[in-house]
Amino acid sequence: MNNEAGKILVVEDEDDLREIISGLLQSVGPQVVVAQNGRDALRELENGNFCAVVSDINMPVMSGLELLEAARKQGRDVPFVFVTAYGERNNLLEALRLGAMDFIEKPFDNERLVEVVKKAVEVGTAQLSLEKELDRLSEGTSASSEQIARMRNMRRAALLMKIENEIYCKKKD
Amino acid sequence: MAIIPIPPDETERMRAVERTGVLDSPREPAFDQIAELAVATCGTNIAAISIIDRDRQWFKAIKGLAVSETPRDISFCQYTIVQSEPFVVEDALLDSRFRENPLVLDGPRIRFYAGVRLISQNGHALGALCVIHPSPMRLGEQQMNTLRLLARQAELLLDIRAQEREFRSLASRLSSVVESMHGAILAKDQKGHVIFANSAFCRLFKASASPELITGAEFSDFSPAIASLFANPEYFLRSTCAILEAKKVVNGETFTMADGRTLERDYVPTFVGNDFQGHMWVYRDVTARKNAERTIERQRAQMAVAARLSALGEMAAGIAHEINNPLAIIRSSSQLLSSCLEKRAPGFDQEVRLSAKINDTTTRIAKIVSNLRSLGKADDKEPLVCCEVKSILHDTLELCAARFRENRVSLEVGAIPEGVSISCRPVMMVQVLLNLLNNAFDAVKDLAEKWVDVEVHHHGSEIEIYVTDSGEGIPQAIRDRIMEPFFTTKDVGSGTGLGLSLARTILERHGGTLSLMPEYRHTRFVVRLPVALAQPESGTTARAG
Repeated sequence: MNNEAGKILVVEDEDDLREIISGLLQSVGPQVVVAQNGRDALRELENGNFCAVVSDINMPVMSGLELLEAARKQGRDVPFVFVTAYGERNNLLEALRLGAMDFIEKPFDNERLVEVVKKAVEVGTAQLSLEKELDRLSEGTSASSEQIARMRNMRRAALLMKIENEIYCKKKD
Repeated sequence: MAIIPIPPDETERMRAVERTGVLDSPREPAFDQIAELAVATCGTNIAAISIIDRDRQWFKAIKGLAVSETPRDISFCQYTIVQSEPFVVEDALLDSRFRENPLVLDGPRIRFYAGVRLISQNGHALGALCVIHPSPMRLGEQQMNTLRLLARQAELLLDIRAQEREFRSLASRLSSVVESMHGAILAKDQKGHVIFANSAFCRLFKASASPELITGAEFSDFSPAIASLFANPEYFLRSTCAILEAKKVVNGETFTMADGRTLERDYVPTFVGNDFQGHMWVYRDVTARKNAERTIERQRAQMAVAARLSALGEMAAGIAHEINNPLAIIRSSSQLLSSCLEKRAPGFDQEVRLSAKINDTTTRIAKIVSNLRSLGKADDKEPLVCCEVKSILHDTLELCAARFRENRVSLEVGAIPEGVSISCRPVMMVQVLLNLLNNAFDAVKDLAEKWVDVEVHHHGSEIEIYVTDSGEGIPQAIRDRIMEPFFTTKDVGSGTGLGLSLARTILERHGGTLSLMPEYRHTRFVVRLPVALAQPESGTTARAG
């Protein structure tokens, strides 16, 4: 799984905080990429394989929620973890509705941040390898593109369930 | 029979007659004497003071004849009242107007009549003073003049009677007004004797006699000692003496009575010219008004606090983001610093400790910001649920019992009424009670006698939760401030100064109150909340069982 591990994207407008978060996450993933706002982050997502996005919500140019929405529209399932100073339920509920995986309130404990992002990276990495496996499978068949798409979705769902099960069971131990 | 003369001002004239109130009044020597003088002067058999009523003449005084009235239409005096000069009939038998008059033909057999009309103060003829004789005669000029003078005397007497009557009616109207007045009134003359006191005054000062009996006496003879009436008798006496000395009008001076009522009094001295004639005291019970004023004042203060809190809450929400971001940097950095230092340990104990302090401080700041936000935030979106008081208390006690136990602070909880529920957001209620209990704990933990007591009372539509600790109460100077945001008596760093204000805000949002009971010998807070109308099922069964 590790050979093709994806990168972690840290999106935060506050320079010092961006530096701290990316520093903390060095231990989690092989490569941490940073962006100052949602728009820059979206550009990064288009260019590379990411296994997790750690993003602020309230940012100039494009907010974290807008970034999440745009990413999902482009079909990117990468797990999002929000780091927010707001802690307002409305924002967080909206984030979860849009498919965010988890959130952390500022100021946070470093350990907790690492822990939450680790979980997201596991899911994201599994997703990435699943995508690759599906790509490889679809190359050698004569099935129609529609059939392939359906198969992709079914396998993806099954695998996701399996991954999540593993992660949550591991947490409980 | 001749045409009866009706005065042109008959209506007003009758009013003037009625105003005298003399009709059908008992006989009076003063009037009788005038009639006697008239008889003596004129040498006639009969003299009368006749008042002309609507259809009779009535004799206020009559000498020489035993009748009290005759019909108006046969009277001689009806002619007298319509002319300003005396009316004289020297021989009635020679006068066509009287020739066939029954009084001439029969009864007194009048032959001679002389009358002078009696005029009221406002110029209407009331009747006449007349002399009558059974044989024709003529009066000399001297006699006519005396008759006129006697008539003036009769007029004066009638006028005095009218004035007396008016004065009496005014006085009685006045006294009924005074009597029915809400205020307690005492009027005294210059010697200090009571001119009048109304029953409100007698009641107020617990007099042992009715207003009538007190009149003319010294009020103090009937009243219990001042010391037993007033909360501060020395002040009352001092002020009263000063007022009596100054003899100047005083309005709205207030006193507290021994029974807790608030009185307001006015002082009005009476002068005729420069001569002091006496004075009047008016006392009013203004307890209800004062209480209402206090309530309004309290509500206004509460509203001011609420407005301030809401402004604070809005601002807090706005700055939460601005504060939490830099705070996140400080916190994360201090944690990073700690782990760096720990890796290089030993030898950095001091630095590790300082870094931990930075970390703890960020926790505190974050808590302040979060509390501030909940102070003003419209958290009413969270639904109200009907929850039993007992379960809220149990949840609260569960959270703090260990802390009390570990520090050997005794925590006594009285009987909690069964089946009483309140409509609330239970987590917030727990937060409120926990705050009170923690405050109590902090207040007593270092005292020799350390206990905290929780009592719950249920009165009708209200539930009261008392939290009392063994502390000596809150000093007067800071009582009003303890529920203000940021006010704290705790050491710097151990409290946010928001606990009580937050608790109060939460309770007020639930229709309840939080108050300190300053008169209690220990520190005692009371939470009052309205009991929910719809009791949960469990409550009903518990009562039925």
